[in-house]
Amino acid sequence: MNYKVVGIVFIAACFLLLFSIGGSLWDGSFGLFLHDGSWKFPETPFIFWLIMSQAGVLLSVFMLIMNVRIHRRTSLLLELSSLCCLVVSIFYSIFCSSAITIESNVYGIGILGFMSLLFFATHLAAADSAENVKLCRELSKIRRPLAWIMLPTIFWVAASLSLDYARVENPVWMGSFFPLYVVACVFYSGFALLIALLSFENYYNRLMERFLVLSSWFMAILFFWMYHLKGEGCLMSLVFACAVPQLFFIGFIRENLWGRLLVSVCILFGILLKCDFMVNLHDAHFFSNLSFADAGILFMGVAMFVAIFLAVRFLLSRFFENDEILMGEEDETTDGEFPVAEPVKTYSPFSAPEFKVVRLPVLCGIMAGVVYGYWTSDWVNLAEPIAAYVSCVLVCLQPFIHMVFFKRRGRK
Amino acid sequence: MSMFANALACLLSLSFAFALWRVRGMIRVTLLMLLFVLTSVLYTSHVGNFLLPTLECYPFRMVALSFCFYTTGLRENRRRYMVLAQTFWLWLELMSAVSLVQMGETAPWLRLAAIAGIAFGSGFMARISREIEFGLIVLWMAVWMFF
Repeated sequence: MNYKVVGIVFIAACFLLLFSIGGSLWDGSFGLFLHDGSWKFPETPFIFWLIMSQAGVLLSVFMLIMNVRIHRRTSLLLELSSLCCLVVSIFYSIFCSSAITIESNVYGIGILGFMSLLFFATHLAAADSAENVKLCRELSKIRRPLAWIMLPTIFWVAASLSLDYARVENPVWMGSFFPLYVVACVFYSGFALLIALLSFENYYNRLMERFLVLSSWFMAILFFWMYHLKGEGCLMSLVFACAVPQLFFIGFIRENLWGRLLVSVCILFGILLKCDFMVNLHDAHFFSNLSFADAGILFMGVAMFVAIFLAVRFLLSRFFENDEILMGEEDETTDGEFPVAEPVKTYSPFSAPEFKVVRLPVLCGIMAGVVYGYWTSDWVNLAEPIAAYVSCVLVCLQPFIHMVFFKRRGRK
Repeated sequence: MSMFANALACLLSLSFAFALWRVRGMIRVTLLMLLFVLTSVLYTSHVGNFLLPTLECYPFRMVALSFCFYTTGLRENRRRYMVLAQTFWLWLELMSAVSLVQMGETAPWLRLAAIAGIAFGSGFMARISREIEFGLIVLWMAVWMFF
């Protein structure tokens, strides 16, 4: 870990936080901190951190499913960042409870958070081969099945949140494109976050950077489509989130650690501006109405994220680092991991090892979801997350059941 | 959107899948997908009427259909990606349906059921021969055109 970069980022966030709090005393906006119901700004960072809480885990799960080889450290960082972002969004919802009036699907987010935690924990335990090799092998078998369960759940929760938001809070966003746009934002912010987190590790992944640039073009197209549909859009967010990443074409910025960090922070700021536009529907609202109290609550989230992330990263460093030496780029096409030549196996339908792991848990999960939907008539918000939750728990129990069962059979 | 424009969109998706079959490498495939998203957005904005809420996701439905076509030409893990692509299409259609219901419009539930049925059925395929590939493409085109 690059302690110099991490230290500078954390000190900068704390300094900006203190400066903003001091400024809020000067411009008289400090009173907003003391639970002012008319304060609307906290909704913006709350939505931002909620989006970010799904970004890391979505990217990690997607890479695993699509067979994109990345270092274990990279995926662990993504999963950990998701959990930290979730903690920050929970903090916002508690600290600014009077300001945040969004009726969000709390149980859906909670279920997704729990599943992310399970995914992260199984990844950690599978990595710790020094303790119990057999358990590690069993746990590594369930990682991909868990990813298969989590991917649709993330899509479902993000879509149901955005549909709910459009219906209850802001009818301008009603329509079938908005959920897709939100999921695209989640995905894109995951790439930006990954570049920033890898900078903390003194590591550079060219493949991810290329995908980030390509995704910025996708996002630009989606932005213009949204502009075409709704007749309005935040141009500043387009500049920060889609134009600034093109700086990666300049070799000096691409090769420089601070350059990469700055570009990824700009992208995340662009996403924040998108969130602000989503809440206020005004292009220049963020810059024209920003008070020191607003900046304070914003930097509070940033400082909190960096502090929690670094503390957990430091505590779990033995899982992250092992014997890997990650300095600079190892290969342009991979994330440094040497490709393993695996023979292509063909399985008959529903008999692949991964499917064997998930078939019974998913069946039980679907039954639980159907029963829930039947009794509550809530098919949109929670039927799928409950099905995924039951499936996830049962899949995670399998390694332990296998171990106990095989141990007994071995004794006989 | 007229029947002819709808059919043309389907052919456009097929032609992009054809182009994707000929490209190797993750970055090149992603670049081509980007080009296809751009083309489908331009096509929809040219022929579509934006007062219709059903057209909001039309270009992305075209992309999803193209992904489905593309998976028939894969060499490895074809069944898995076929189900994944159809699930993406299903997700798009489901979100469209829910948003249409929210707006008081009628949702195309039959199309949803058809896609779900084909996605589930394609999971049972042991060996996907040329004939089955062709049959699947025709089925998807039929779902696109008639449901």
